Amino acid sequence: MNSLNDLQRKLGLFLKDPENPRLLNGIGVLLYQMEDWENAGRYLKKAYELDPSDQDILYNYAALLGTRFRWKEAAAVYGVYLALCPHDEEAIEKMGDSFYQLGEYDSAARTYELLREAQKGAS
Amino acid sequence: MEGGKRLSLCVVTKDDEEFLPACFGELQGIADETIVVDLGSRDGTAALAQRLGARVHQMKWGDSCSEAKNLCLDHANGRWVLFLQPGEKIREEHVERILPLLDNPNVEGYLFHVNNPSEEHSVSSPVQSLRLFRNRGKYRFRYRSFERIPDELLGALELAPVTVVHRDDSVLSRELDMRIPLLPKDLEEHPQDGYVQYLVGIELLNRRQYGESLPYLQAAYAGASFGELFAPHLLKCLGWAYLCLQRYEEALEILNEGVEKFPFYSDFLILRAELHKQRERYGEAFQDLNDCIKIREKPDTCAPGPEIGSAVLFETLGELHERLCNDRRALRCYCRACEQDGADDSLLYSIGRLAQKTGLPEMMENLWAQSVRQKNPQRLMILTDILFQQREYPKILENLGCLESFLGKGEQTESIRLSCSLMLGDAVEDFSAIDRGSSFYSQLLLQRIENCWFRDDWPQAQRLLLEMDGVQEIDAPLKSLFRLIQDLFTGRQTGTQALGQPEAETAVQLHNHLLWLGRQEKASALLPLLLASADGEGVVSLAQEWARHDRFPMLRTIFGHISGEEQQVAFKQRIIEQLLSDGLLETAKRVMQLGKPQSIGDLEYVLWARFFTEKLRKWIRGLRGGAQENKEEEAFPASGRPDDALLRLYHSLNPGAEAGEGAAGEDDANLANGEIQNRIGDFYEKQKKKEMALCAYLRALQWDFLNEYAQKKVKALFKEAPDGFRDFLEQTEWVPEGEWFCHREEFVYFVYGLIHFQSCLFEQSYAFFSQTAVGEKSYPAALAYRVGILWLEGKEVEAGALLDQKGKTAELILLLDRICRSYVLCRLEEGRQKYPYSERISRERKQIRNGADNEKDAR
Repeated sequence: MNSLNDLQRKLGLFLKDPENPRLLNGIGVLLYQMEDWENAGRYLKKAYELDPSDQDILYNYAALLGTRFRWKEAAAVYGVYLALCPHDEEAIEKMGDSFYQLGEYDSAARTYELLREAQKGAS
Repeated sequence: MEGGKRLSLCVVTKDDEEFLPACFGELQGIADETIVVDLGSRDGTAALAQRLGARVHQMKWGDSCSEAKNLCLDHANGRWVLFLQPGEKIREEHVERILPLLDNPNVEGYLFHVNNPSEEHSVSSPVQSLRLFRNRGKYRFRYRSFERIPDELLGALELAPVTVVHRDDSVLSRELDMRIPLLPKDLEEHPQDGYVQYLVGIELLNRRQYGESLPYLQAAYAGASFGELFAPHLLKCLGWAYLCLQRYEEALEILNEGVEKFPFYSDFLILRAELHKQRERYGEAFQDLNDCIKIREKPDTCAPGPEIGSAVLFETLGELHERLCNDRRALRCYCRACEQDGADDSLLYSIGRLAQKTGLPEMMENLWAQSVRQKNPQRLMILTDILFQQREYPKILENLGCLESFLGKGEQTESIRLSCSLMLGDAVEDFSAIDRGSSFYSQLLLQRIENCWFRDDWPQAQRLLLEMDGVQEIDAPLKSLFRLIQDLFTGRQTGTQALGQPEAETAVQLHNHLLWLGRQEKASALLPLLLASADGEGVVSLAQEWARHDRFPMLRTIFGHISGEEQQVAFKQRIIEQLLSDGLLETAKRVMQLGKPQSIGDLEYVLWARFFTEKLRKWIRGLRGGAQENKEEEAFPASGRPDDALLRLYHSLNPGAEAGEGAAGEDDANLANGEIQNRIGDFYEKQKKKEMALCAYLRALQWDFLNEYAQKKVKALFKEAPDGFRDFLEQTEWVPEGEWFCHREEFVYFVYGLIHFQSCLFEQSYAFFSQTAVGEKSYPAALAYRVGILWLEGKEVEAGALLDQKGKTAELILLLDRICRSYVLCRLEEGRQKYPYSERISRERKQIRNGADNEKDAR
C-alpha cells in the first residue's frame, strides 16, 4: 500500500514536472519493485535520456535491462555507470554476467577479473 | 624426593599360583614394588609371591572387593598404583606405554581398555577399567561387588591406550562368580544408591532379563549426574534395554540424549543405528554408522572407550546394505568386520554367501590366504565348509594339501577328499582310510548312497542301504528318509509325507545337488516331498535352484504353494533377481506375471530397463543392417577442441576451486565445450544465480543436445520456475553456439521438445520437434527424436516409415540409440528418486551408460 501511495504521489508530481529525471527514476524504481517491467522501463529510459550521468539512474536502468534479458544494452549502461563508480562490485559482477549472457566470453573474463581486483582492494 | 617409588603394582590373589610368575615378570622393570593381598590361598600363592619379591599381606575374606583393594592401597608406597589381577595381563606391546602416563601432571587416573570377550557377561561397567591412579590417601574404594572410587573424590581421568586381556577363559568366570553374589548385599546396604542400582541393571541385562533391568536402570538414571564416570554407560544400558523390549520411542529419546551429551561415546550411534534399522529408517541408520566410523578413526576422542566392538559396527552396516540388496557393499562391510578384533566366525558364512552371489570368489581366496598367514586352522575349516556348501569341490581338493599341513594327514582330511569325489559323482571304491567305527564313516556312507543315485546304481544303493540300517550313529528318521528316496527314485513309491526339519534339510541338499549335477528329472521327483515340508524361506530357496536352470514350469508349481501376499512378493523379488543376473529375461517377465499383479519395488525398474534395452538393441541392430552410407546429412559433429575464449572464461571463474575440487586447468584441453558450460553452470548454481546457470546449461545443450547432465539440469530448472524459464528462453537475445542450431527459435522449440520428452509427454514433444525440424542443422537431431518417440510409443511401423522416407544414416541410427538410452536412464532416475539406496538401479544405469560407450568405441 505504501508503494502505491508513493507511486500516486510521485505521478502527481510528474504531471507538474514531466522532465524531472530524478522523479522519473523514482517512478521507475517503484514500478520495478511492483514488477511492472514495461512501464518501469519506459520511465527509467526517459530518465536516462534526460540525465545519462546520474549514477542512480544509470544503475537502475541497467538493472532493469538485465531483468528484461537485454544484455547488450545492460552491459553498455553498466559500462557508463562504472566509469563514474569504478569500484561498485555488484555492478562489475552484473556487467560480467551480461557479457556472459551475450556469449562475449573474453569481455566477461576481463570483467570478472576486475571484480576480483576490486574485492581484493576492498579487503 | 629423588629415588622415591613411582609405581606400586597391587594384586589381590586367591589360589593364583599358576599365573604369578608371568604376572610379575611381565611388569618387572616398570613397577618399583609389588603389593599382594592374599585372601587365604590354599596353594602356594602367598609363598611364591614372597619369593618373587612381593610384599604379601593376608586378609580374611569379608565379602568385599573394596576391602581387599583398600588394604593394597594402605601398604602401597608408590606415588602411583596399578591394579591388575593375576589372571589378567597387559598386552605386550602396551606395557611400555604405562610409565610415560605417570608424567602427566594434569591427570589423576587412567582408564584402561579391558577386553572381556564373554558371551554370558558382555556388558560391564567402565568403572572397572580404572586401573592406574595416583596413590592419595583419600582415594579409597567403596562397595562390595564392583568396587569404585566415587567420582567426587577422584576426577581428572583419561583414557589410556593400554589394553588388559584375560589369560584364560575361566579367569573371568571365576572372578564374576565371586563378585555377582555380592550384589544383593550392596543393594541391601545401599538401596537408593544409583551406582548399585545401575550394577543390578547390568547383571539383569547380561541375563537378558530386559524388563526386569528397567526399573533399576531407570532409578539409576533418575539419580545420576552426567559428570559421573558410569553415566554414559548407564544411558547406553537403558537405551539398549528399551531397544530389546522394542520400546522404540523411549529408546530413541535416551539414545538421542546420549549422543548429545556424550558425542564421542560411539556406542550410542551403533545402538541408534540398530533402532533405525529395525524401523526401516535406513538413511538415518547409515548416517549414524558413518559418524561412528569417523569417531573411531580418532580413538583418542573415544572417552569412555567403546564397549561395542567395531566388528559389530561393520556387521550392522553390512546388514543394512543387505536389506537394501546392495550386496557388494554388504560384502565389503562384512569383510571389514572380519578383520576386527573379536569378530564372529559366523561372519565368514555371510561373506561366502555374498561372494558367490556377487560373483567375487576372490574374496574367499583372500580370506583363505589371510587365515593361512594367521595360522588359524579353525577358520580354514569353516572356509572349507563354506566351499563345500557352494559345491566348490575342485577348489577344496586344491586346498587340501594346505589344510593337511595344519591338521595333519588323517581321517578328517581323507574324509574331505572322499566327500568331494563322491559329490562330484565319481565312482569311488576305496574307503580303507576311514575306520568303520568313526563318525566320518557313517557320514560317508550316506554320501555313497547318494552317489549311487547320481549314477543310477540301484543295486549298490540297495546294498549300502542295508549296511546303513546296521549303523547306530545314523538316526532312524534319516534312515527312513533314505529308504523313502530310494523308493521314489525306483518308482516303488509316489506319494509325499511331511518330513522333520533335519530330514527336510537333507532332502533339500540332495535336491539342489541333483540339479547341480544336471539330474533334473530326479530333482523334480523329490520336489513334492520337499514342498510338503518347506517353510517360506525354504520354498524360495528351492525355486532359486530351479531358476538357475530356467525351468519356468517348476517355478510356477512352486509359486502355487505360496499363499501370503508378502511371501509371494518376496518370492518374485528373489527369483527375478536371480533370473536377471543370469540374463533370463523372458522367464523373469513370466515370473513377474504369476498370480496377482504385485509391486516388486526397485526390481520393477530394473526389469523394465532390461527388457527395453534388449528390445532397443535388436531394433538398432536391424536398422544398422539396412543403413545407407555417405548420405548428404552431416556427420555427427565431433566436439573438437574447446573454444579458446570460453576456456579463458572458465579459468577466470576458477570454478573448480569454488566447488572445492581441483583447480581449473587440469586436463581442460580435453574438455568438450558442452562440459565446460556444464561446469560453469554448476559454478553459477552454487552462487545461487539460477538464470546464469540456466544459460550455461542451455549452452551446453547447444553443443551436445544429448548431454544427460545438461538435460537433467534444464528440466529441473524448468520444473522449479516454469514461467521464469519461459521468459528467459523466449526473450533472451543471444545467438546459439555450436553446430546444431542456427536460430534462436529452432533451439527454443528443441528445448521444449526435450523437456516434454523427459516428462514422457510424447505427443507435445513430437509437435515441438516437428517445428524444430525446419532448421537445416538441427534437422537430424529433431528427426532422431521424432523417430525415437514413435518407436517408444510402440508405433514401430511409422517410425520405420519416417526413417525410410527421410533416409537413415549410421549417424542417425547412433543418435536414435543414444536418445532411447537416455530415455531409459531418465526412467531409472525416477526409480532412483523413489529408492535412493538401491544399488540395483545404480548398477543398471552404469551398465546402460557403459553399453552406450562401448558401442560408440566399437564404431
